[in-house]
Amino acid sequence: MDPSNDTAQTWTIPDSMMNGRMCGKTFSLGSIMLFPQQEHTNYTDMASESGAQRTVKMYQLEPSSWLWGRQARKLINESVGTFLSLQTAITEAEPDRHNAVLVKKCREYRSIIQACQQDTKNLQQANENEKQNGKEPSTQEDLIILQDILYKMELILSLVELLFIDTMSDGHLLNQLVKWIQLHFPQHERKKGVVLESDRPHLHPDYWNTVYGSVLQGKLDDARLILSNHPSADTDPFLSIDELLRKMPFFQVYGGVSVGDFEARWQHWQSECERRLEEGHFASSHNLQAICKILCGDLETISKLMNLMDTWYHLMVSTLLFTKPTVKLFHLSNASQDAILRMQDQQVITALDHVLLAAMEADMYQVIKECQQVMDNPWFTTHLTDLLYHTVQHKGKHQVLPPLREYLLLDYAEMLAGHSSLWQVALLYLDHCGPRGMAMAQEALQRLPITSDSCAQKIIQMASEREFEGVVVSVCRVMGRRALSQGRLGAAIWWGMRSKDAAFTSHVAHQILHKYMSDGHFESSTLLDHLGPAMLLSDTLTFLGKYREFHVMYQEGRYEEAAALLVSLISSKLAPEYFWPVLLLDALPLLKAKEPVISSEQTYELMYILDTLTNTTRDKDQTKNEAAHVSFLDKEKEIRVALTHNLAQAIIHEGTVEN
Amino acid sequence: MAGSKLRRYVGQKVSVVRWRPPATHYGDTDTFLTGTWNDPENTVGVWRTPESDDDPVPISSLPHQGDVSDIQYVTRDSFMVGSSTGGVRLYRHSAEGDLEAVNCWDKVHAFTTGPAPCTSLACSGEQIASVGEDGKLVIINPNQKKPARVLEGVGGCSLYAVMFVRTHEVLTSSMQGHLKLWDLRASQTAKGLLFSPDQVAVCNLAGHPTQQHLVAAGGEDGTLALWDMRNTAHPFTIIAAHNGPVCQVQFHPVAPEHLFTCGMDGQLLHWDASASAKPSHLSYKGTQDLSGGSVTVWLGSEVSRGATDTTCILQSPLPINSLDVEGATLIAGSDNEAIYVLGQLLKKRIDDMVY
Repeated sequence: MDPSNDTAQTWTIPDSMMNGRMCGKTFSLGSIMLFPQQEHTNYTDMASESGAQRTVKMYQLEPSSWLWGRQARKLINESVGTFLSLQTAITEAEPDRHNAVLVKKCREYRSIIQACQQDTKNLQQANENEKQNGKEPSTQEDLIILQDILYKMELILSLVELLFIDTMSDGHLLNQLVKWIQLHFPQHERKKGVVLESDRPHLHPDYWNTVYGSVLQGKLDDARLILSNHPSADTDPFLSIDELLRKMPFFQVYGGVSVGDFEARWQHWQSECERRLEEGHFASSHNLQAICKILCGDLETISKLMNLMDTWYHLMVSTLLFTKPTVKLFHLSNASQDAILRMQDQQVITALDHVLLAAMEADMYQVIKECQQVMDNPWFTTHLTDLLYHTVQHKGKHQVLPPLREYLLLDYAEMLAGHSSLWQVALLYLDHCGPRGMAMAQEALQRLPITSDSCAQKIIQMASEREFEGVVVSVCRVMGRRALSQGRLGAAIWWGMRSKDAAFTSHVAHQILHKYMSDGHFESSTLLDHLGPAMLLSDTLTFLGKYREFHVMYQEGRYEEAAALLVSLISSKLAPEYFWPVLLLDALPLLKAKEPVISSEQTYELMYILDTLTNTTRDKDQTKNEAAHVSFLDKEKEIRVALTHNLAQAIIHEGTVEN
Repeated sequence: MAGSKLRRYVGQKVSVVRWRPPATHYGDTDTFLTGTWNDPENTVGVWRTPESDDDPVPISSLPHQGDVSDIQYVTRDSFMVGSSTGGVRLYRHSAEGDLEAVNCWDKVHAFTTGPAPCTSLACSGEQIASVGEDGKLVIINPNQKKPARVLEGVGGCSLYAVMFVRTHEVLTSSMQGHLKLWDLRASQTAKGLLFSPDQVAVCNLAGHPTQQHLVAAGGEDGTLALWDMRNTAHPFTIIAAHNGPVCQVQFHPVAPEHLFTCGMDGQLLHWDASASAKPSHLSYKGTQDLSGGSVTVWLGSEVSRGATDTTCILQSPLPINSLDVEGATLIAGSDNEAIYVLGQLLKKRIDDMVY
């Protein structure tokens, strides 16, 4: 990043502690944590400084955008639904149905934006009514800004729909362009209502402007309605203009009339208008003359009424309506340049205009590029690119659009993943981004803060759906470690077993054994009693389960089975070394039983173990403080006596049986 | 059964939805509560569904500390909210439609190192049971400042669901898949049950409205188990229901042959066992026992064979966290930041019932 870059933005942290020693660290996805770096001070100075100690604050910076506002946030979830259904619908539909699907989805996006516009407008009006309640002016401002953004998005999207996506009209765009203008410039509709409701409409100051406006927007029926309210509506000039307005031909794609025929008719109609104008039918009223001139396509008259059409695209469409009704897409670029030239004194070209111009030039990449510069976050651009990608995909010619779409999707998903709440939506998008999306999804899932068990389960659920085994193991380990640090060994084992994590489960099992050695009782006996096949996950866990079984058997009085189990546990070396003293101590009461429950073979095993143990402890001498070990040393002699005694008894017993 | 389906996006992830109890026993209710989670500013909101098939309208809301983990009504006007900060609060609907806080019990659930989330609440009369991730079952009386009783679990495993089987018996389910029946009069475990041998966590419990011994449990592997509490050796049936953990299970309060489950795979399923219901021989008008005879259909042989009519009535790309059904309308809240209102669910059944 070039330090002399003009477009870089600077924010200042209003905290005096930060002066000169601010340090920052990025964490999560896009957040920065700022803190003042503490200088090294000698300890002698600390005492004097402690009186002037100030609180040290850490600042967390997060990128914010208009999309996170309460109203705009609904756009995110609504649009993800449309996005997903678009992907599935395209893959399932036959190639000739693609267009219908795309148009439908485009209209869904538009209706989402329109619904948001409506909500925001309602909210704004409600706030206006409650102004006395002291609503902050900033929320009103935010709402106005939001409405502005939404209006622009809807404008661009509807234009893109009719120019690129909706190809039903076979390239004859005029009707749709006229509808587009009518939809986005509703002021004449409103004025018409006002004018017609007033007592004497023809004396209303806006009367003629409304008529002109309606004609320019192609709403000829409205114009006729307003004109009929004029007191001299049944005089010749009015009747004449009424007839002309009524007879204007409009091209219908499936109307059964060919293009050539329509052109002929239209020419005929326009020459009729010109004839009547020349013959002086409207000499009495210059207003009616102006209307007729508009109908004849007189550019000067239309240009004079520029104040009724706020923008160049309105001017362009109105001009085309009366000069070239069979306009096609490739005419638009000239027409738009023309309109801009004619209007250049009255307006400044904005970024929005650049986008619309690019659309008129039929340059998709330019449209996307301009959109990226207008909007400060990729929501609109991403969905627009996705629509355009699917529109041209089956043609197979474009090289740039697929990677561009993927890049934009990744960008948008990354922005969502950094939000504390919208990470799930981000994953839904990343599913459609190819291998890079998969990689990012795994990284994002592992960096989410886990606040509770249900949150962990949701992360695990999303990871398992996408077969990210590594993420599942990692999340379970985090939860297990957390449980361990809280002393909840049972929960820790459960998390270990959930992800079939042998290493971690062994670790926890060792912890449980140590705890048993120091406390003398098992903490999570119910869990260990019912381990079932999960016991085989790790050796230590198996040992733990079997040891619990031994306890249970002993308590139930099944001494022989218990003894057999105990010896098998010892001899199979399943038990960890530090636990052997405990096992030998457990064997002590069995050795002292009246009837020999431990056979001679088993006694030899026990003696071997005892010897190994005493040798190693003599050498190492480490675990002196463990309670079990201490008691073991005390009882070592007793165990030896018991072992030899048992050996003698067992040999006798076995010898007798043979005979 | 066709019905109206409405979806309204609310801009926050919805973790709990609850109908307000109707004014009369067979009346209708049009107000419900929502609780949100995972947002910097979580709220408890009051909504109303208008008479026509329009979107639900927000009436008021109250900010909430931490995530909302459960909401249960104590009386018609007051309800308890459990939070992920380990506290439980009592609120009340005021006359103007707002919410006001009445009482709060903080740090009801805590680990040794910090607060533990409260996971579920249940109410019976004047007693409120609360369970949390610290493995404790806490009994609270709404009029007292401190919890009445604290029953510790062993092993430190989180408890995920709680329900009252009778007024003095509470059933809790844990992350290890153990269902424990506590007798509050005796202060020790009455019985312990095991959900399945594979240590599957049990995420939610639901009680049959009329047959108290029948309990439905939803597990973390997506299975639905039906337990007969009189025979607790093993569950009566285990049905593979969802592709992910089951978030909530609920019997329809008036037509209990209908069971609803919702899960983290984004599906809401409707289990209809009325086809195998035996005809009731007490069919005169005015009877309250509408579940068809003395043997409930859920414990019949057809259900164990899997002969229920299952329909997926909702599909969302993200988990559906909660559902509540009252009368003929079902509401659900999902992580898709949407509230769903499904009307005229059981059209045929409701018409059959005559009051």
